[in-house]
Amino acid sequence: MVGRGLKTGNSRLRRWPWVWGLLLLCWLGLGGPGWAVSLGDPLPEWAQPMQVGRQRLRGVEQYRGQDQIRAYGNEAGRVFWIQIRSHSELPPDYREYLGEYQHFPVEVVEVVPLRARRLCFRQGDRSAEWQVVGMSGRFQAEAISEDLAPQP
Amino acid sequence: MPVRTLGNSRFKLLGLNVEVAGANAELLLDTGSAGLRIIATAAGRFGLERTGIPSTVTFGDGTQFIGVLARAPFSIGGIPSREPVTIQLIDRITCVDALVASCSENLFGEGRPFAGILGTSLDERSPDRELFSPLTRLPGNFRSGYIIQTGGFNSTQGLFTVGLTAANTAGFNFRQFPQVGSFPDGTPIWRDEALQVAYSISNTSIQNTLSPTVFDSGSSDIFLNVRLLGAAPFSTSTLPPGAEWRAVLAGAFDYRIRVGFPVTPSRDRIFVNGNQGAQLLGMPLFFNIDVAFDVEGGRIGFRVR
Repeated sequence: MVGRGLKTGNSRLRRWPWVWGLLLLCWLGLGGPGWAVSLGDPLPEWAQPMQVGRQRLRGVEQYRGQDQIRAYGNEAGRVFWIQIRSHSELPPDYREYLGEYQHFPVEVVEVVPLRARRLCFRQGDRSAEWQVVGMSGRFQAEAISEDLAPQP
Repeated sequence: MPVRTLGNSRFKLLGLNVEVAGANAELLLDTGSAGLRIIATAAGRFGLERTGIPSTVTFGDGTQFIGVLARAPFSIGGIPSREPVTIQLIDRITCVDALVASCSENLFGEGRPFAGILGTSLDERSPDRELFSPLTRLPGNFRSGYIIQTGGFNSTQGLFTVGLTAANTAGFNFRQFPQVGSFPDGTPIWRDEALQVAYSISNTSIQNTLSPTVFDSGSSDIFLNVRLLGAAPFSTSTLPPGAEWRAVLAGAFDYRIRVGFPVTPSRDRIFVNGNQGAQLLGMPLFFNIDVAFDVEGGRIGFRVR
């Protein structure tokens, strides 16, 4: 009994470095389930070419809670466009996705009563738009940076 | 019964008088959401059963209704529901992210246009599965469906008819929605964004392009996602004056707008850069076309004026 207890205890001890390592990875934003993305972030290495309408962009798709998140990168591999489909009660929070743009002065671009609103965060020649449509249980949101977007 | 156009120079929406727990209230008639939501102080007390079940709904512009689920007798045009219906009793209306943008909280409340929303969508368009169109609880043929006939853009008066008959649906062209399930009590759920409308916009690549569409009286304007139509986002948020826009639902309607100057909300204002999964044909369509919703048969009918 004592021997088995010691053996179990040693196994647990041997497992701890792995657990701490995984936690560290998640904290660094490299772990899959805890992955968060903002405009301007570097695209992760596992980004794949994805078809978006008529465009083909490198991007990643992740699921987080009740949200499906797609992020697309520009030629320099930086995220310029994030799309979110959410089944949550609350709309996605722009502060989680806009990165530094969230601190720029904001203006309301358009409001369709009850249905949608679009905001623009602009400072100098840098700007990003944030749009939400839908209602609880079926939100669609997107963040897009105009200065990071690929030039046509 | 009369349906009233309410609004101002920025939007027009439809108001319909109903009775909830014995009190009369004018609610926003919304074919794009499901369920009756009423400010608690506007509802009566007769037969009202307030539950402790919290209910919150947030709309795309950040408007948030916070309250509880309740059951209450409901009537429309003097026709009482067969049984009490499940409603959202709103205790508070707020605006999500109020510091960065306004919302539509000022549309609702005492001295404001609406006391709540009458959501009549045939689809599952509420985060609370118990909340669905109370029109499905009307007796006999009254629950078969309803017809919206506005008085047009320049009139405040229109007609709302409950109960479809051969006489009142004469001249309508109907299309079928697919059934995608049932509500807990067996009421069918019809996918009301399944119809493919063909869109054309002058001087663009969008020509006769099919896209799924919702017929949404709760949307004050036409609200498109041009990316779904294969185009890049436009440089302007609405179609400019002079633009010609066309929507065709084969066998049902051929609807055209030439955008005027200045652009007029709820008449020819067409937002183009939405990111939603279906196009929204809102009040401009309802001002020009009578629309019949066949609740039992899962169909929608159009009669061009």
